[in-house]
Amino acid sequence: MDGRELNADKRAGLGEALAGVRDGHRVAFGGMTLYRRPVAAALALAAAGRRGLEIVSLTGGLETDLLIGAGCVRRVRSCYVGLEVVGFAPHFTRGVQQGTLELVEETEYTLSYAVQAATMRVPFLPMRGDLARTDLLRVRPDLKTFACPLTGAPLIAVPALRVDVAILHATAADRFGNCHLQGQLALDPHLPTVADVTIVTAERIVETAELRAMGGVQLSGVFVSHVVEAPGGSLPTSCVPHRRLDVAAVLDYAEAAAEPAAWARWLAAATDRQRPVEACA
Amino acid sequence: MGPLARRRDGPAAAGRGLRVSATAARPASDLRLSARERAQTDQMVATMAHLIEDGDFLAEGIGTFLPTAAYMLAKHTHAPNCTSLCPNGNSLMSGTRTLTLGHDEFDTVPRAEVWLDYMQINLMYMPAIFLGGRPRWTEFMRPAQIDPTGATNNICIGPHERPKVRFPGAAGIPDASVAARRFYYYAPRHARQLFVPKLDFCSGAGHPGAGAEGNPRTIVVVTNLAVLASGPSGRLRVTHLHPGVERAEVADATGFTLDWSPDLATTTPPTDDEIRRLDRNIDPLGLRFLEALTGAARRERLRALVTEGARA
Repeated sequence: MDGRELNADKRAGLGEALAGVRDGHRVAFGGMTLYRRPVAAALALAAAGRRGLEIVSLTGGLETDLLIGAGCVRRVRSCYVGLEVVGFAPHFTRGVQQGTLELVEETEYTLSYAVQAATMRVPFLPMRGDLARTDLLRVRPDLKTFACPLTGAPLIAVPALRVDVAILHATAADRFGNCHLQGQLALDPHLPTVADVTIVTAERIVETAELRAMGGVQLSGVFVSHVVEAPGGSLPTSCVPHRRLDVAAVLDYAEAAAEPAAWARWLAAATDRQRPVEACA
Repeated sequence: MGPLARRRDGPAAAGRGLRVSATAARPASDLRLSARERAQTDQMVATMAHLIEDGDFLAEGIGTFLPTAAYMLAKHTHAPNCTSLCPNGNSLMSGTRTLTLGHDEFDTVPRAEVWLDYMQINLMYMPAIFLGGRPRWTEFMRPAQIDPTGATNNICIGPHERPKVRFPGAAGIPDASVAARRFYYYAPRHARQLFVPKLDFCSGAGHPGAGAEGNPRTIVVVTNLAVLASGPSGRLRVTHLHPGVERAEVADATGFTLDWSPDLATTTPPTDDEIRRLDRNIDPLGLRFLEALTGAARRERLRALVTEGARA
């Protein structure tokens, strides 16, 4: 049973839910940059010692950078990886500069088209050919140019992108995996339609009626495999309306990530703080 | 000459330096800037605001305090009917708000008219607006390199497969640059490292050249010293100098030979009312000044702001 039955109770502990993530998997993260990121889940993957992951994130932030720093990531697929106002994402920057991290250079459109194509189960979606006026196609040989069969205009075939696992953090969910998402919706409503397994961590698990009262369901439980109660599971990134972005903690992260000994201490302390989440779930 | 400017040789330009606000809430030393750098920052905000037309669709970046301050200033003054696309919460919002350090979504989400996800932005709103041409889209992007045609780089310095410096990435600039007729950039530090003869990587298309097809047809760059815009040949040329800036300073800070508009003008300085609105209503924390800082000074200023926020 993969837990996708409509009326199944999908509650699980974080470790149990993440057990399906294997070395080498392609994993998509919900949220955006420093907003509603599944940080607790990323830390649990780091603690579990996963290796060779390909991370898919429209824009990557602290959750992606910490997994790179923990040695879990082989390849990143994104159009921006950084810490916004705090600056560069240290492990991402170093990994690309040292050639130890593979990067698939996406744009907002290429990644959106790729996910939409996978959702529609078509091999590609055509994009207008103008992107050829930048250097993007030079570093993306998988984006092939072709002539439109109707008009002859140059088009780009953006290949469909499926993922093994999608991991999202929700403002609230019910035990069937229906999710109430607030604020930055990012690609969250779409990622589960292209994933084999979808894992939701939620600030709170509530009754379905309460989700309606909060403003409804933005992601149906039919696409969700596991739901984990993880209060504060986005911290230090935000989760509207419960958690504000903790800019001081992101500054601390950036400083720790700049130096190996400090980084080892940060990672050990952060995974240590995760244990109560694991235990209570 | 447009809304930006007076003629360079006009009477109003005589003897006027950059205006330092009498109502400034924060002294330049607290911001880790010189008085001139502080005034240059507000000049940039005012100049960007003056480029906005009422009814524009204003797309905000994240952590890009200078353009966001300019959007709010325009909404406070001559352009109250603009709609903002707020990436923190991906919502459409009319009205103004006060800039925050990373908490914008707590103001934008409850006050939004529409919430969107990124698929709706990228597969629906942006194509319809860029290529449909209505409403008028305005966004200011910050590049790491600009070449003489206005093409830009936000990807890397050195070879892409093994760069000397890797930047966070170009996000939607590649998509937008080839779809929008008019493209705006801003540059808080006009320097030779920024204005280069040849890009290490092109992630934002330049002007296609006189007579050639393609977008953008006009590229405008607002820097701390000047305003540059695509000339008839497709090359950038200086159209405006900020008050108190001489040609030589701009030429020295540019890594290629510049073209100059025959109608070179001086930008209109911010009024006292504009500066008062920035300091009191739009950006009382002075977040816009962060964009003029780099390295340790920026980190220290951020720490100070976070500590101040924790006390408040």
